[in-house]
Amino acid sequence: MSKLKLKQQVKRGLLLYLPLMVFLAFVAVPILWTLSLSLKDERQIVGETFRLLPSPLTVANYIYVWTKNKMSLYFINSLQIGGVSVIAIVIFSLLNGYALSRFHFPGKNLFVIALLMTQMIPLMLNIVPIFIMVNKMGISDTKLSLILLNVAENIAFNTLLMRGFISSIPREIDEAAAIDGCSRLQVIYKVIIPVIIPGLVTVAAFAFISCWNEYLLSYTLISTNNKFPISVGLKYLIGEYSVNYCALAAGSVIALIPPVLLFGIVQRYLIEGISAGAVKG
Amino acid sequence: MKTTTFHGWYRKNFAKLFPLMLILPSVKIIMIFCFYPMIRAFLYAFYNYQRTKPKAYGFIKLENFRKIFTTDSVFLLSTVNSFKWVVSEVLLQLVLGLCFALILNQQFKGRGIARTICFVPWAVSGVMTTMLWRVMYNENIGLINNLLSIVGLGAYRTAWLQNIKTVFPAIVVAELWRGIPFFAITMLSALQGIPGELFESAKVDGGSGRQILFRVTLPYIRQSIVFATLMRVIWEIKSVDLIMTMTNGGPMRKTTTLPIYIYQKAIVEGNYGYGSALSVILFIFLSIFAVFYLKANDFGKGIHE
Repeated sequence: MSKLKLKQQVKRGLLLYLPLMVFLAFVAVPILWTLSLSLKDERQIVGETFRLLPSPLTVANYIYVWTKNKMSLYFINSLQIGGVSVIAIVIFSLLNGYALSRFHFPGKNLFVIALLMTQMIPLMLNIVPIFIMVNKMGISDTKLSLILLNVAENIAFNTLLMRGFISSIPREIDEAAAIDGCSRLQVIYKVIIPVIIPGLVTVAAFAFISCWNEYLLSYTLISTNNKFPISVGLKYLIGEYSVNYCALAAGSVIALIPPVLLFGIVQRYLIEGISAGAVKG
Repeated sequence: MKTTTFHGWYRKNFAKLFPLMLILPSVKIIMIFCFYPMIRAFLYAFYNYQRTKPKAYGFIKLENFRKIFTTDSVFLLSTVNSFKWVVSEVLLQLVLGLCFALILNQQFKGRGIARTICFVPWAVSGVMTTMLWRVMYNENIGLINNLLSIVGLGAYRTAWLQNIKTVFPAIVVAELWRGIPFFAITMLSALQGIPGELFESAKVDGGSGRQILFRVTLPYIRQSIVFATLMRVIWEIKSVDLIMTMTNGGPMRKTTTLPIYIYQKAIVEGNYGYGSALSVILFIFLSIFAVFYLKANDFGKGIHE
């Protein structure tokens, strides 16, 4: 009996824990290695002996990237672009989600298909016309251009997510408010919004991660160094610090903090969101 | 008089107009920044439109496409690379992602934290993935080379991203780092949708673990597998951030996929017409899968919560 049990445990270990550990290592090691590098003294890594862990620990690299070059500026740029984009995305997706969950109207299905299609259009197809259009509109090399495009790129997914949140609120609440004399818009901001705050936070977090991570448009549209968001700034750091890997690692860790923290908020909704078929890859 | 009738009409139809008013701003933005550029790209594809030669601007019918298919050897090469990229990414993500979804769906201690760790790469962008993996692959300070030395395989040390033999597998692995979690999340949601009674009755009937997997579990989530695979194909065809920042198509064009080539032609060289023609071809490749995808999604109806 105990032999059978042992056999079962070995089997479970081989089939479950071993592959799980390998996979967890695969996911965690690049992050941990970068973290370890970022805390090392630069002279340590070119030394003859290889060390897995930094000793002595130093935060000098963080201070260096944050103060000696424009890392802090890029970080703030990304916060600004992301912040304004997120506010717009939340408002638009709230309006869309409310319309989709509460009303039947002509063109409703067409609208949903159009939203799904925006996720399919490769940015590579649109990038040339966008580049030319933004130049003609006189907003090339501005944060405004990135904000407008961020909104356009992220409306679809967040609308579909928001529709789900609003659909979970019973319609009777709307009707009761209307009887109490609320206008249609008042229903949205007096009734729906207070109930849906967790949903709004989730949408905002999803949208912020996406804006923070956006690269191709910023790289193409922004040419002034001082206006770079962090994604593009880091790319240039690679060139600038091809030798100073510790500083580069510290920069990477700083840039990873906001999306990974927000990941905690959206994690619960990841599965629903991704099965809604519209998270960007 | 006229205004009052309009007003009357407006008040009478307000209920119908209200939802349209709500979506109007978004419709405008999507039209201007998604669909209008798409139409323009299709038009540019038939023009000789170069940043450096504004005087040569003009309608040239199918000339761009003729050049692409007859004289452009890089096009063929980048299409082959794109094909290799999509096939290796999607196949590996499918197999490994499904395996890890099955594992993460088991009961074990610390499952919650294991799931969280597994899904973290979802939040990490292509550029950030590049940053993380560059310090893995680096010839001198990279973890891989150092570990090879420690276990006595120092002979296999190489500059993973500069060696033309290793660069393609290297970028594939880095993308898998983000892709497998992505796939696993989708599969996990499908697995959680399987009613528990199904397993119980299968066990009562005396099915072994393997039989249950192949006769019950996998058939039950078959549709989700198809769905997720198509979704990944579309994304991997489009994917560009990671390759662009990690190798930018090099060395010796070993990692030049179609989107990378388009960017080099259109934005770097400024050959807007030719680049647009290339991207129209990319779009056609992609739409084949997009049609299947939208169909699997029941054209948007299937995504009601």
